[in-house]
Amino acid sequence: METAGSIVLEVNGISHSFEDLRVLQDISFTVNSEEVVCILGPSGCGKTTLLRIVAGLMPSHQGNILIHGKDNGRPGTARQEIGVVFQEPRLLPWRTAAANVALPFELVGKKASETDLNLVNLALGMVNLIDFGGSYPHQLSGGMRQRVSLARALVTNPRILLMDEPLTGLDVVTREELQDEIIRIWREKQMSLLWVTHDPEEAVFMADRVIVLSNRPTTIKTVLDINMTRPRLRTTREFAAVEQELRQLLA
Amino acid sequence: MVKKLGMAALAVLLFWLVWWAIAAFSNSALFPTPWQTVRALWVIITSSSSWEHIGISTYRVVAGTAIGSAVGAVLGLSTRYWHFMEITVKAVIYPLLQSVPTICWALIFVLWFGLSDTTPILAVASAVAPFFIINIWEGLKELDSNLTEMASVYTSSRWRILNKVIMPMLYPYIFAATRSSMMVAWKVVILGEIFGAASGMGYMLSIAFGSYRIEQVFGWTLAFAAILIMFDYGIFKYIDKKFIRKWKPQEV
Repeated sequence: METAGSIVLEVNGISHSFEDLRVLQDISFTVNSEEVVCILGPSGCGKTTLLRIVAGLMPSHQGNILIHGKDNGRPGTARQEIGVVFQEPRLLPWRTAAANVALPFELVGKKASETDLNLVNLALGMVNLIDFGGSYPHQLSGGMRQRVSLARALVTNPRILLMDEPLTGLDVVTREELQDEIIRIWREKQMSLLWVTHDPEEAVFMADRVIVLSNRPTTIKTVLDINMTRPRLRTTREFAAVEQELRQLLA
Repeated sequence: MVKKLGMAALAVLLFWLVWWAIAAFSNSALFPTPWQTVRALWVIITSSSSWEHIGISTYRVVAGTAIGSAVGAVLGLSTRYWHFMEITVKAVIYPLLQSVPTICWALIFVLWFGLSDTTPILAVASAVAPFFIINIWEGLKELDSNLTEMASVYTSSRWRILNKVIMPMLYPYIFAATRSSMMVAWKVVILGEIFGAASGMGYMLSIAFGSYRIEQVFGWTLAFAAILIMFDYGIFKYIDKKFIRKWKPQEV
């Protein structure tokens, strides 16, 4: 059991190119336990590539990833430690919400047990969808589908959740509602979050620390600690000032 | 619905009338009237030996389709996992199976296996395999790579990803291949039985043809058409509605 503040994720000198195009250049940072770190960068700078490398979905050309000290250089080594929420919900359309949430258990070769069923219900309850377990994805709204996707990522009880612009494409009300809920879940589960976004407002609301990326070849431009108490109000002067500072850094 | 049924009944009636008119006009033993054909059909469906032949043909269709679908599915899927197989299947196996006429296969199989079950079954298998190869190809091309990437967050097992994510995405394509290949399989089995079998509906058709009993040729043809319609509209439409639609991608 790690203590608050101990390092959960270490990203060491990650560089990556697509053929001759250098995308990521010597990216290093850490994420501590129970910390929310936002990666903020302009569109197309390689944020998603970085997250995919961290998630073990693709190898990097240089550098390594340690998750709880385990080298995740070979894609998927630290699979049980992470959960991923993608920009799109990526639900299997022929499965109900509950069956989608149970998918990770089946993919690791477990037979459905009573405990797994309880965990699925717990995850659905956590995202306020306990009554929608029997619904198919096409019967749910965009926000509800993303909640199912969040429940699927939570069901294995990961130590760190990787979120790739998970709220893009949702309307403002749903987006803010989900931001509140994810913060609540983060607190309950006492896990770490690595959140990729291009939205400074989202970064200020979510993060303990914001890593601002430059344009290609992408390097870390600056790291900003957000020393604001939670719950954060988007309407305060302090919030607006930090958001403005991030916008200037992004420009 | 009632209007649709009424129009269908009218079309059938019109067909029978045209048939009757041609038969009456030609007044030839080579063109039986609808009534003579129905009588021949009645003799066929009331004879137990006819059902035996229908059963044999059905068995050959099902066995040939099962073999052809298994071979086609394995070849189609192999193109995703092995580059060598992708080249081999695309450049050699598929064009060969697709371009060689079924009758050539039937003749080759007669030479190899003589008048036996094997000849029509293999003729069917060689005719339906390309349907499965091409449909699985199409399915794999349309495969949502986002879903397979999502699955690989949790497992590195290709088998589990195939089983839980890829195969369900391919079910509609496999069903479409089964549906169209079953129709072809019936036509091929009749051909195969005419050339290379001593039983089955094709064999009975060739016996009727050899003895110039033209109304029986028409009777067997009608029976054949009825079986095909039953398979397509009865069985496949039901399966599609009841089981397959949920596997088809929905707007999400």
